[in-house]
Amino acid sequence: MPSTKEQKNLMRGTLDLMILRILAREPMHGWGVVQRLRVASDNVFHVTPGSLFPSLQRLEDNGWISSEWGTTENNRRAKYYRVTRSGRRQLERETAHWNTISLTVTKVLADA
Amino acid sequence: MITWWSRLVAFVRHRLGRSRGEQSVARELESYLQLEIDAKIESGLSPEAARRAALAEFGGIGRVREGVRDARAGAWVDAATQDVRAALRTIRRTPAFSCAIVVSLTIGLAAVLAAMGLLNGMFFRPPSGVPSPGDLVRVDIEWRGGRLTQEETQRLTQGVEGLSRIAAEGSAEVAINIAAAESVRASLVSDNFFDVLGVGIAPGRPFGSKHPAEVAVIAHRLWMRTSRATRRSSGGPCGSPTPSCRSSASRPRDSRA
Repeated sequence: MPSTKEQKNLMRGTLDLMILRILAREPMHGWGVVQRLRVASDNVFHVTPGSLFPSLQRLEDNGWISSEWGTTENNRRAKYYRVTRSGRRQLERETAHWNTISLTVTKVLADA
Repeated sequence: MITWWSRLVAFVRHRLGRSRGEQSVARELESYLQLEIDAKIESGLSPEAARRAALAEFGGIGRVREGVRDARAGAWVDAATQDVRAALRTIRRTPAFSCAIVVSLTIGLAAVLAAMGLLNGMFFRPPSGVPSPGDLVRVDIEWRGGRLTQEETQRLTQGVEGLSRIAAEGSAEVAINIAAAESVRASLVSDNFFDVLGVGIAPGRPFGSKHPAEVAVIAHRLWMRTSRATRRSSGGPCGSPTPSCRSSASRPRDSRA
């Protein structure tokens, strides 16, 4: 499991990509995103609000996600985020880019 | 393109509804905290313990709000405005110290600008009047064998690739008025110097093939000065206002590069 420092160094762009991917499945509030990320990463990534909310703000300002207030299952008010059409295009681009990079790095690590 | 447009729209939205945006962030953070507390209560903690644990994990609401503010489109405008305000407050509070800083910076910048202007004029600016300075290349040669002869200069053309013609230029102190012990810094050039530069001569004739060694081209300002001086002393100028005025110090047969 990565150390706390390594988790802090989780690349900003990678976090944006993962948030986009999670929101592409269904609209979700910030707390839900953190829980989904934790489960999907087998409890490896513990994203703090200090990383999550700036990231959501960036994505929304770029027009890749939109938000609206809603009510949770526990009857709490929460801001729900959904991916926009340009956000889906961005997700496709970034996923392809990430796949290229990770495959290349894996290949270098295996062959070099 | 769409991203830039979105960021511009977001920037305007943040500027116009700043307090509303701040309230929305505060509400959202409170909502996040509440959901975390609910989850901890569900896992068996008491409400007080759940709130304490959730707050500890949250890591400081103020810091998160600041992070969101910094991530907003056009956050640099707010940062710059704050910096300017802080600078103005400092200037008002300590005017003497601020004046000293401004004067120091002004002197420093002026010195740098003057030095750069001098360097630009000496090394980088193309010679004035040359029609195509981009075609000119200056080659500095350290020549230890005395003066460079005309033949040696021409041989350089064959030795350096990409140069169609080559002209030589050196410099020396030459006397223009022996009686008054007056001298000027002159350039000793090969007879194709003005041809290579592509510069014409206003009045008079340029270097010809007949007696190139006896020709001096003088600057208009020098001619005006010397002619006035000669008029004062002997009643007439040393010659015509032409570049081919014969110099009191004849051009050496060989030029130095």
